[in-house]
Amino acid sequence: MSVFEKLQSIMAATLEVPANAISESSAMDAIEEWDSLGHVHIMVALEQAFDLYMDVDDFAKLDSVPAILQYLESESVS
Amino acid sequence: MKISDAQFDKLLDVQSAQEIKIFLAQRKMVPSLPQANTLRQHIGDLQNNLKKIRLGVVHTYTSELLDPWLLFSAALNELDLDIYHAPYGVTLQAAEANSGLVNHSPDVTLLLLTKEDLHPAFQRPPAGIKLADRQEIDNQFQHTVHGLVAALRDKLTGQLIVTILPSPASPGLGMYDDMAESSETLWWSQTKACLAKRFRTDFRGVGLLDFDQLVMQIGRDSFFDSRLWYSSTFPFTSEGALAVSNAVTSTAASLHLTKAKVIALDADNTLWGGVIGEDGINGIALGKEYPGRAFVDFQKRLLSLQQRGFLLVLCSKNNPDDLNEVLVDHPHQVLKNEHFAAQRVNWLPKPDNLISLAEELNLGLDSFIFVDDSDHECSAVRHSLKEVLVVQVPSRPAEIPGCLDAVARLEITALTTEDLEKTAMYSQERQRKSQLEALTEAGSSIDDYLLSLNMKMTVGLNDLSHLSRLSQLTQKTNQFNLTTRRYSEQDLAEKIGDENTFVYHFSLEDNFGDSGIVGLAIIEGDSGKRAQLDTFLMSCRVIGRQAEQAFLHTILKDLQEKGVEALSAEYIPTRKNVLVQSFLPDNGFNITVDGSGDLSLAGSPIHTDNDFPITIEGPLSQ
Repeated sequence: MSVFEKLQSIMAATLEVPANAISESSAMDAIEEWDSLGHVHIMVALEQAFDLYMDVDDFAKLDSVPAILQYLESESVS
Repeated sequence: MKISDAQFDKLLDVQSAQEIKIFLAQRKMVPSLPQANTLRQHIGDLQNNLKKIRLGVVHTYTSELLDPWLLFSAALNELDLDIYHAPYGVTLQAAEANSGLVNHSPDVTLLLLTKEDLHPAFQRPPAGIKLADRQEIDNQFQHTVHGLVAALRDKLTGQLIVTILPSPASPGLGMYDDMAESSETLWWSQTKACLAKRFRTDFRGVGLLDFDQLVMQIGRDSFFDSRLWYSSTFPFTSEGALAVSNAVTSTAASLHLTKAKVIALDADNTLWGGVIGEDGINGIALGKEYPGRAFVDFQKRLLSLQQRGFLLVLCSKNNPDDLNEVLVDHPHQVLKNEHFAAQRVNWLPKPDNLISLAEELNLGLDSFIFVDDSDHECSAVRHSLKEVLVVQVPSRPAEIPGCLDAVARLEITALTTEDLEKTAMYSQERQRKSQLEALTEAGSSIDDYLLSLNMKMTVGLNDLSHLSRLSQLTQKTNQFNLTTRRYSEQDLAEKIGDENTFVYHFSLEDNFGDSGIVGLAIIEGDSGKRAQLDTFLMSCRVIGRQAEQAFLHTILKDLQEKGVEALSAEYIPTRKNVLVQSFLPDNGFNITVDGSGDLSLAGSPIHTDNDFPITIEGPLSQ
C-alpha cells in the first residue's frame, strides 16, 4: 500500500467519507467534513497511524493532501 | 496498547457490541480514531437494536472533539447517541425554557466544567491561597456549582453527570504536597466529597463523575494533551477522551439498558485454576501463590459485585460433592454456599441449566451474565441463548480479576437496602419452598401454607424516603407489571409532589424474613371522582402469596376514603408481562371495547381485610 493509499483510508475513516472523496490533490476547503474539527481529528489520526508526535505549529500548514504527503515524506514515513 | 492491523481484523469477527467492548478492555486495547470510527460502523451493521439516547453537553472547554469517542463508546454499550452541545460557557442561558439544550430534551446531560471557570481564585496557583481563605472560596465554589445544577435540574428531566477537569499539572508543592498542611490534593478531595454529598441529598438523578479516577486509571500524561489544550482548548488525548466517553456512556447504559441481575459462574478455571475432579482440593490453584492469588482476587471482586446487589449463581459441570468440598473446606475459597443464590452443579448442558436457574429465580435470561473459560460452553450459550451476555474468562490468570470491569450493565447509579440483602432473600425463598413441600406432603392445602407464613404487609403512601427503590422497581420489573412504565427518581419525586397523584408501595414480612419494598402502584387523579391506574407492579420475589390482591384491596379502600368513585386501568402487553394479562378482569375491572378496564368504587368494597392470609397495615403516609 502506498503512503497515499494509507493516508486516503485513514482520512476516509476519520472524516467518515468514501475513500474516493479523498484524492491526491484534495484540500481542506474542498471537502465539507474537513472543517476545523475534522482537521484536528485528522492530525490525531495521522499521529496514531504513522507513529508520529507532531508539533502543533504544523497543524495549520497541513491543510491539503499534498502538504500532508510532503510532511510525511519529510518525517521519513513510508 | 495500540491495535495492529491483524488484531483489528480479528476484532471485526467479534459478533456483538458488548463482546467487542470486553475484548478491547481485557486486552487493554485503545483504538486509533479511524479504527474507532470503523468499529462503530461495524457495530451499526451488526446490530440494529442500538438504543437511541439524547445527550446534552454543557461545557467550558471545547467538547465537540469528544464526539467520535462518545459515539464509539456508546456503540460499544449498544447505544446510539444524538449529541447536542450547548453554546460555549457556563451561563444559565442553557437552562432557560426555550434553550437549544432544553429543546433537545436530553436523556443524559454532561457538564464539562473547570475549576477556573467556577471560581476566579482557582485561576492562580492554589498553593498560594491561605488556609484561612479556603473555606470562603469553597463555599462560593459549591454555591456556583449548586446553582448551575439546580437551574438545569429544574428544566431537564434526564440524568445529570457533573465533571470538573482535574489540574493537568502535578500539585504546586510537588512531591511534598501530600505532607503539607496546605495540601492541594487533600483540599480538592474534600471539596469533591462535599459536592457529592450535596448532589446526593439535594437532587435526584445528579451524579459527580470523578475524572481523578480516570486519571488514576490511565495516568496524567496519558490523559492530557497539552498541545490540543493550548491550541484548541481540548484537554484530552485520544486515550483520555475514550476514558471520559466510556465513563459517560456506561452511566447512560446503566440507566437505559436492561439491568444485569445475575452472574452465572463456571467453577473450574474460573473460580480457581485447574479441575477439581482431577486435581483434587489440594491440587487446584487458589491461595497465596501465583496463579492461585489471581483467582482469590477474582472471587473478592465477585463478592463485591454481590454486595452491589447482583446475584451470584453457580453453573458448572462437576460432581456436586467435589465442588461443595471446595466451598466448605478450602481455606482460600472466598465465595461460600451462602453467597450463591442458586446452584446448578451437574452434567447437563449449560443452556438448560441457565434456563432452569432463570425459572428458579423468577428472572429473565436477559438479566444474566454468563462467565466461563471454555470456548465450547461460551459458544453453546451464545448460540442457544442470545439474550444472555457471555463473558469468556481470559486464559492468562493475571487478566482474570479485571475481566468483568468493562461490563456496563454491572454499573449501578444507586444502592438500596434491598440490593444489599438480595441473596439472603433468595435463600429465605428456598426455605419457604421447602416448607410448602413439607406441608403439601403432609396433605395440607396452599391456603394452610400461606397462613403458616404469618405474613404482614405494610403499605406506604407518597414516601420520598424510598425513592431509589421505587424507581428501581419501575426499571427492573418486567413480568408482574401492568404498564411497564419506567420512571427515574426525578419522575417519581414529581409524582409524589403532585397532590392528585398517589404513589403506593408495600413491603412484606413473614416468618422467614422481610422482603423489603416489592410492590408499587401509581394512581393519577384529576381532583374529581375518577382516577387512573398508571402503574401497578410487583417484584416476582413475592408472587403466589396473594400479596397483589391484598395490595390492590388496600389501595381501593384508601381511594374510596379519598372520594374516588371510579378507577380506570390498562394492560399494556409486552413480550414479558403475559403473567398479568388477566389481572384486571380477575380483579373485577370491566373490560371496555378499547381493552382498558373500569372499576366502580361507588358500592361497598369487594373484599374485606380478612379475605387475605396477610395482616395489612397502612397506608401510612409521610
